Amino acid sequence: MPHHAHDCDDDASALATSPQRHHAGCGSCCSMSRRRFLAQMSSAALGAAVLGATGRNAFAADDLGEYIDLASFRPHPVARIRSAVIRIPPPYWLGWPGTTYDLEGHRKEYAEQFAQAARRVRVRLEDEQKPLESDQAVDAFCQRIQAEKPDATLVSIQHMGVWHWADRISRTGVPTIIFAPIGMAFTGHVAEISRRPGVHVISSLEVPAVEQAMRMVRAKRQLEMTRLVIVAGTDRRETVLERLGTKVRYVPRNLLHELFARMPETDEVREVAAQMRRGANKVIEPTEKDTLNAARSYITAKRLLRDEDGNALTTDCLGMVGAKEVPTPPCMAASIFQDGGITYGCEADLWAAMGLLLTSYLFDRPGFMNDPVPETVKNVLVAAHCTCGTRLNGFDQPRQPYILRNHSESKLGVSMEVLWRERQPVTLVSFQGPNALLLDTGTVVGNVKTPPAGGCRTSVEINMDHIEDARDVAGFHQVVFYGDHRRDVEAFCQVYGIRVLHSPERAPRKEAA
Amino acid sequence: MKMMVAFRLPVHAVTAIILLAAIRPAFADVTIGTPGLPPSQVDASGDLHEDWGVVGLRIEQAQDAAVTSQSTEPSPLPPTARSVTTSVSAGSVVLTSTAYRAPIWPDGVDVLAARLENRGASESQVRLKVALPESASAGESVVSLGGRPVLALPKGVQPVRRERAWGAAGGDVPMPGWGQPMGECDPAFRNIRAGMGGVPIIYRFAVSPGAKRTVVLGFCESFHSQAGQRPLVIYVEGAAKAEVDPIAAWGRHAPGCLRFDATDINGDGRLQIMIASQPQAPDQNPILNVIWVFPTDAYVDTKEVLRGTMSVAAEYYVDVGGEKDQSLYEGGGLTYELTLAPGARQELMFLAACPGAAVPNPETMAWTAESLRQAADDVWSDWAPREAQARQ
Repeated sequence: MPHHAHDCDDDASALATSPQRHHAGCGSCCSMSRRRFLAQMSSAALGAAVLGATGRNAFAADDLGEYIDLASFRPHPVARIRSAVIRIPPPYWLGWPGTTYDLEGHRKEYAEQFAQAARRVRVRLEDEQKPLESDQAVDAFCQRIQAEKPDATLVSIQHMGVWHWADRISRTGVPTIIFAPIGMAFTGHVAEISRRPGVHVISSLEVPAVEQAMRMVRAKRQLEMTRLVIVAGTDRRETVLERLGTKVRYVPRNLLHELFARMPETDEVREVAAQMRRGANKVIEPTEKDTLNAARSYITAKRLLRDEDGNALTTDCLGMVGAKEVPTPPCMAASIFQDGGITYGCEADLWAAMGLLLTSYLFDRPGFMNDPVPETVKNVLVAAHCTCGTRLNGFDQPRQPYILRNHSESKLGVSMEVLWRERQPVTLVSFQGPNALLLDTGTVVGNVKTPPAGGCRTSVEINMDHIEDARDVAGFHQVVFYGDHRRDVEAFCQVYGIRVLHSPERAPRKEAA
Repeated sequence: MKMMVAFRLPVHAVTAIILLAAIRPAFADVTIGTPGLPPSQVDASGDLHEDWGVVGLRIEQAQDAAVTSQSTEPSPLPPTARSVTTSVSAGSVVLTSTAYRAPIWPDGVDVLAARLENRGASESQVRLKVALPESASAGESVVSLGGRPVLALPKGVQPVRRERAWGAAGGDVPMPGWGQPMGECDPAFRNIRAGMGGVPIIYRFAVSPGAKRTVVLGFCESFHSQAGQRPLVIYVEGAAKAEVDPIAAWGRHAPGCLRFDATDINGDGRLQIMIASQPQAPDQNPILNVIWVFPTDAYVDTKEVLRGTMSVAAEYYVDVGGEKDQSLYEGGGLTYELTLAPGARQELMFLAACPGAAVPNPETMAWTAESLRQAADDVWSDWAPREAQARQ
């Protein structure tokens, strides 16, 4: 990875907000002494302290207390996007966008905005120097991208009469983002192409939509670079997911709890535990020993993930708790991971973990894997689980308030009660295998307390959009996250050939056959 | 490591082969595999040996067809990670097949990639036979054995096959005993076919061209309890498209029947019935339990049909997914008839189920020859150092 000054900020807070893998051999900016780490731990914000900023080899390799940078697990691909402007040769006379349209001014303005967006998203945008203004130029461009196979093309339209060229570029087999500012299309131009697999049409003046499209390309590459470690069962094996390209490595469950048993109570453990207690609105059940164990669980998970060359994990946590192999479930560890942009899923559920990965990579914010509970009086869905990230607005945003609780099902250790913001729009996703995704949206209307409720500690009431009866919300272990991102998720799925499904809008009625 | 062997050679070549054998080690079966999963074997002729049987590629009709070489790719990876390439020459045509394990989720698949090449100066007609167990049953895109999808066929080219009077033509899977029908009903409601992964269930029945029939279809949903999970779209040739949600219509474990007036609209002498999943259905695996095809002059009472009392009167009565269900196509091997221009090549990719696994449906899968190879390379390049470390 090339060394960009902004990639290796020495400030722990900055790293917490922008988790990334530090480059090999970057001794000057990425490594940090243990003393300095502890100094920062005491002064930095909780998330920064938890994520830290040291390199992998701060301590001896065989030292279980070795500091491991959580951020180093997040893949940082170099996603390549080839960009071109297509238009008829100027000057224009009549026809849209019109003779008054500042062609060169807007071209430069958009180019600059796209370049800034690319820097923020960390994709490599490779511009064609000149606009494509002829059949020959478009054909040559098509041949180039077919040979080079970039991760995507970004086509900016500057005349209403060149949609046939956009169509030609979109048929090269390279995922195509078409940006058509208002004035470049009528509905008839986009009705078909905008719904075609492999294509994402942005017919809008909303330039942030182009940034989100870049994030989409990056997210796909991140999924391809990810090895998800599933800690469950007794066997070890590795496979690759269709379409998504994610590697899935199964490792025996005993690795984790045996590693946990050996994990010492290090300075990092003590500091993480203290920070988590200090950051909480309240600590209800957990003792100091419980939070120390929960912090050991966090360090253990980092170590296991590093040993397995993984980028994300999900564990048979309930199995380990049920067998009393650990004194705490990994709920607090999972929350810290989630806030750091690293997926830690529950119950060794592969597809739920994939939903968490999608949320993390596509929106730079943690998702909340949950059990769907019907609330039939208020007709809302209650999304409930015992762990949840707290940086629900984004990895670089302030935390939502949280309370440290015990795990309600087992009365053990530490779990997270995160309080979601009321009136907050949310999106729900649930992979149904690699080729289909359930997608719904809603609005947070409250948080359920335990007690009086049973179930899980983080328990969020959601008023569902478009669904007549909350009992009909489809799926299990859905992943919920902040924002109404229905169209963004649909765009991702369309570009990468994933079928989008929704919960039934209409409640079932007995129908005569 | 590269070993040359001779196999199935004509008589006049025997002397040469004996000499060859004297100077080269005997070729042993090669193991191919996926990290952590049971391996498969590739034999000296390039045939894949799986837990369900053997699949191999042959050039038919060529008197002088012979294996000319076999090699494993030179690689630092573990032996099971390598691909095995076998070449067979038959006159001017060379068949090169490459077998390797692609570690696709959940259980991997064995790839058998065939390349036919005409090295002669004139056009060549080639009959490529896919040797399979006699009990194998081929659909349009998938070959099944005992209900298990064991071989995915190449896209874009169809084998020549003989059709039976009726049978299933899709890539669906028989699932006997899946249904749990309540109440008095035809015993066939206990069995289904399922189009796993969104594959439609297709049956064809021989009739005289343009003929009309009364078709009754039986359904029983025994998995979902909520309506809206598995609504089905039904296409009966000559009848209007219909949709049914078995749970909404009849409930869980409750058998139900739908009647259609069918016509062989295209006059091909085949009446086609297709069950597909509704595009927005959360469960994309269509199901079907029973088919009855009656002459149009037969009195058909669907309640009696459901009870099973009219099955004897049906021209065709199909216990879908049951013991007497069958593929439309005759069993055993498949043959592809290909024409190769001078210098031309044709590539065909077969996917074989590895031990304990099933093949993905080639009609819906996103895997390509390139991405399968990439998956194998990715996994092994990470896994091999770990194995090497473990051995030390």
